[in-house]
Amino acid sequence: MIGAMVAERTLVAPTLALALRMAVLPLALAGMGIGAYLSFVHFSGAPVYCSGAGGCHTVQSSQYATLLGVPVSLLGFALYSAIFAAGLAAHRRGGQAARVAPFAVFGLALSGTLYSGYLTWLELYRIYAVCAWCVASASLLATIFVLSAAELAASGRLRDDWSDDM
Amino acid sequence: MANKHRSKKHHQRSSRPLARRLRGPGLLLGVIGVAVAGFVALVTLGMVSQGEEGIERLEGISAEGRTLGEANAPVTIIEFADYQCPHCKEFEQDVAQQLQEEYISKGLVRLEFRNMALLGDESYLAAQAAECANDQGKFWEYHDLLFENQRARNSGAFSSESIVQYAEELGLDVDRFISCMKDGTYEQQVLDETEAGQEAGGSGTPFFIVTATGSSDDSVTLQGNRPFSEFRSAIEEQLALARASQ
Repeated sequence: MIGAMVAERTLVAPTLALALRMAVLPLALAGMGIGAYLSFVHFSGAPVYCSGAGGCHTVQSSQYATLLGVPVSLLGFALYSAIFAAGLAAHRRGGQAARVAPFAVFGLALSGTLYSGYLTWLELYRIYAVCAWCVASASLLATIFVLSAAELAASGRLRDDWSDDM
Repeated sequence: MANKHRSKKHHQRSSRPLARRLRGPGLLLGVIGVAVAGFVALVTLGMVSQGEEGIERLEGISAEGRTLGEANAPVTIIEFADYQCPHCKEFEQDVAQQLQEEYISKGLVRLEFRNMALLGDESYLAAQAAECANDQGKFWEYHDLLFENQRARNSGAFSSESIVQYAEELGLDVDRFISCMKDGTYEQQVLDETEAGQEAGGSGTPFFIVTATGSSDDSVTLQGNRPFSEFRSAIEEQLALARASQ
């Protein structure tokens, strides 16, 4: 009985961890799409398509839309690309990259979630306009963060005795 | 022998990559530390760079004659406008009046006008003409007359002939006015202010920087002819900052 429970647990946890790892990839791709689109708008000067209250232009043209001359949307694209690359590396079997990659996804998502939270605060209390694209991106990052944290827990990587062979 | 064996084992352990030696909890803490440090670095960089270059650049260009309100008002609104821009005209006719009644006349806000000539040759000419009128102490009168006569972009409303005609209407010394225009006295100033506005984050007109007077650290920007309620929120926030810093 105990043996069956242990066997079930050892099967369910890796399957759940795999599913969580897999779920990060399409979300990162969607984020790359948003970052690429807003960067295109920034550099081309094309009007930004905006649903909802229509604050995208205001946010995109605010002083907070660039950081040392680099559009924040481009930084977002780079972040999602890094998460996607780390997410792919996490699927490799064994090796140092596969071991560290889930932690990298977690760290990148944490940093991105904190920063997009700050940007949302700027939208509400500094720019007085909310951009639907930014809200979507912030939601994506928060979801990736939760998934990556759950993956770390489900895979057993947080245990002291975890090894690559597990 | 035992010591030799232990030494070899120790050497093998220390030569393993750091990430491999760090176990789960340690690695997690390290990652969280790096992520939070990255976030703090981004926010700090943003605070240092945002908008301040544009505002600093303006400090070298006098706004004398182009301000409304008391010089020591706790909050300053820097307005960047183009005389050919319809939204700027709307601002002047609506929100600017409310600002005057609720804040400027009470000594709480000082409004500072800056040029952001983006819409073509006549924007550039009109901006210089208003500065030449300022030389004769009639900036606001000329400014109002330009907005009253605004028509389609670059359609002659602010041609070389029209701007002289407006100077005559206001009783300016026309020869002095023409000389000011011909000499290009304010060409560079208009260009500099336009660039300063863009550096401060303005991508179009009107564009506003609402700031506690003398400190641009927590300034708020407003792009476009925003409702008065948004100006009120921004002003009240800056008033609170100004009070806190006293």
